[in-house]
This record gives sequence, structure tokens and C-alpha cells, in this order.
Amino acid sequence: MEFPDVVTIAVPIFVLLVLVELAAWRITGRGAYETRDAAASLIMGFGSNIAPLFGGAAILSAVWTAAYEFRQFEIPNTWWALALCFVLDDLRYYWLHRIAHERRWFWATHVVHHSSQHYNLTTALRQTWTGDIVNGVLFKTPLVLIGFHPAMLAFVFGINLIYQFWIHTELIKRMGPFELLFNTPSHHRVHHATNPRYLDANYAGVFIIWDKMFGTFVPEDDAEKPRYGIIKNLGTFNPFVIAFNEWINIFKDLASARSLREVVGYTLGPPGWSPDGSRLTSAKLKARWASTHCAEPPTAATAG
Amino acid sequence: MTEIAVSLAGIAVLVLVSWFLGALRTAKVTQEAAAERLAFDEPDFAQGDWLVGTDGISAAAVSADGAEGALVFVIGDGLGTRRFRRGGVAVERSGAILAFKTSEPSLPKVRVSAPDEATAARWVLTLAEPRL
Repeated sequence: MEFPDVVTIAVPIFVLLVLVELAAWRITGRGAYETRDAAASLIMGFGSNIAPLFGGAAILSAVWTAAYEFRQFEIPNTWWALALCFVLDDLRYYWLHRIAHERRWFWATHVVHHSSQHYNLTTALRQTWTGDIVNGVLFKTPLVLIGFHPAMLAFVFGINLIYQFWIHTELIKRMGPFELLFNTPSHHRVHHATNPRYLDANYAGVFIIWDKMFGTFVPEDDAEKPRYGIIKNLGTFNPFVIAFNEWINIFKDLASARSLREVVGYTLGPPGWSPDGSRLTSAKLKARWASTHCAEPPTAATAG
Repeated sequence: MTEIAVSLAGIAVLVLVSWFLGALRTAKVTQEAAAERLAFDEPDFAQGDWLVGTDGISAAAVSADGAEGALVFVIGDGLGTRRFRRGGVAVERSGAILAFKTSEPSLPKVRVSAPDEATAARWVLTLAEPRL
């Protein structure tokens, strides 16, 4: 079963769209670009493409090939199987993405993508150099075991990635009824924002309905412009520091851990967890915001 | 190798175009900008005195009760902040320059240029030692 490598095919289109967005920014003043930030994002994207060549791709291929031998259903290479695969993989993406925000070990991989204080098409390319093996084995292997061929999975995820590229822009404000079902620039701006009301929301890849189903949807509020980045914004554009900063922080914390509880907390607890509660998790940030803004802490269901 | 070369060339083109269009910008730290950024990042930090670096790339603040400090630094065209308990960050003074050592991989040191040595010395006492 063979499918085209859609991401590689799309790269020239990515480049063209970045140029268009740059020109639009210069002409209209909408959105924002900073050269060093954009350069860092592009280098992170480049690194994320070659990182699997150091063994991750081979490991994943071997795991999935072996897992496919234990598939539970014989799923044919048909249009309906492709559609079903796409939908289930997008559901898989939602949960991986959510866990990547709620559990520090996975956040250490994903934080790279959020580390820019800008939100433009180069931000879409700011991707991690780590985590492919663990994420791929844990979260995609179940779909292989169901019976979806690994090549089909790779193809639908490529489509998913291409879809997520164009939503990383401030040029598009709203998209009417399209916003009811699909992830859009507006929904994803909320996801990238560090405004407390917007934290840990809108994890969707393609279908925003997952956030609405699982209570993590927050609409963009025109009265509160998103501010992008991470809670403790990085002080460098060095791509190696961007790639490994949170991993270094995790291992520094583990070196000081005094119990199994602290080891588990520092790795599988939420980002910002600390034994003495001195650091801020997203929940604490929201509660702090709520104490100065409203009667009850905002949740994804009420923050809108 | 060809694909890698083409990718790197594409990156170079985009970076050069962004530079040509004026995207290489550096923020300047003013008290207003620093206060606004700190208020967003740390809304429960009751801002007291400010030391805005004379070079416009950083600033330090002390909380109204003197128990905490904060740093504001430039990163590209934006600002970042760090908050710490008084005495929680090592501070060294060299003339009128204060060097705050955060020990973070992405921000190992923040230098704040005070207007004079006396001001820098006063700020070392303000932020470097915990209150008794």
C-alpha cells in the first residue's frame, strides 16, 4: 500500500505562503514577523525533519510493521477506510495534544512549538526534535493494531499536518459556520495564547468538535487579544536551547528529587508542578486570574 | 543531501526576505513597557520600585513589600519576565552593572545597567539578600 509523501510535496507551497504572509504583514500591518524568531522557527522545522533520520523513523517503522501483524480487523485500502482513518487519527491527535499540555514529559517535546511569541506561518513549522518515538509508539500503534495500515496512517497524518499549517496566522479573523466543526486560525490563536482564560484549550488538529465534546473549547474573545508564547518565555533564539530547554529543566528537577512521588510529579505531573507548590501550573494560573477577574475560576466551558 | 541543501536554501531565502522587509526588530525596555509586561505575566506581583537599564535591554523591579523581585528582558521584538523571591537569584555588581544569574538554560544571566554605581549598590541590597 503506497501513498504520496504529501508533506514533502507541500513544502514549496509552505514557502510561498510564508512569503505571501510576509508581504501581507508589510502591506496591511496585520500579524507580526521578527526575523530572528522566524529563523529559529524555520531551523526548528528543518531539524524536526531530519531528527527521525537518526533512528526514530526506523524504530517506528519496525514497531508498526510488527504491530500490523497483530491487527484485529482487515481494513481495505478504500476511500471510506481512508476517511475513517483520518477521523480516528484526528481523535488520536486531540488526545496526544491534550496530554502533551497536561503531562510534563510530553510537554517537554511540545513546548518547542509554543515557544515563539509570534503567531504566523513560520510558527507552524517550529516543531520538536524529540518525542517522535515515544509519541508514535504510544499513540499511533493502537490504530495500527485496529487494522489501519501504517502507510495509510502516515498519509492521513500528513494531511492533518498540512491542514494545521495554514491556521497559524493572524491574517484570517473568523470563518463563519466553518468554525463550528473545524479548527481555524481563530480557534488555534486561543490555543497558542498564554492569556489565562485561553490556557490549555482548543487542542484540535482538524476537527474542533473534539474540544467541544471533551470540554476544552474556548472561543476567541475580540476583547482579549491573545499574547503568544509560554508562561516563562525563553530568553534565546538558539535552536538547540529551544529544543532541549525543558528536558534540561526536567533532569535538573529529577536530580533534586527526594522521593518517587517527586520523580513522578516532575515527569508525569502537569507542567509547573513542584513538591512544595511554589511553581505555577495552568490550573493555578487560571485560579490566580480568576481571583482578580471573576467570582469563579474559568474553565474551558465557562471562559468564553 | 540535495533535499537538505534545498531546505537550507529555502530557509535562507525566507530569512533574508523577512530581514529585507524590516522584520529584524529589537524591543526597548521602558518602565511603561516593562510594567505592562510584568502585569500580564505576574498579575499578583505588586510592583514597587523599578530600575530600568540605561541600555534599554532589561529592567529590574522590587515588589511593594520588598519580598520579591522581577526581571524584564528583551527577546527580539518582545519582552520576557522572571519573578523570584528576594535572595532567590544570585546578583553580582560590576561597577554600575548588575548581573542576575538565573541558571536557566535559555536565560543564564540578565544584566541591568544602572545609571551609577551607587544605584547599582542599592539595588544589590534591595534584591540580593533576604530580609531578616
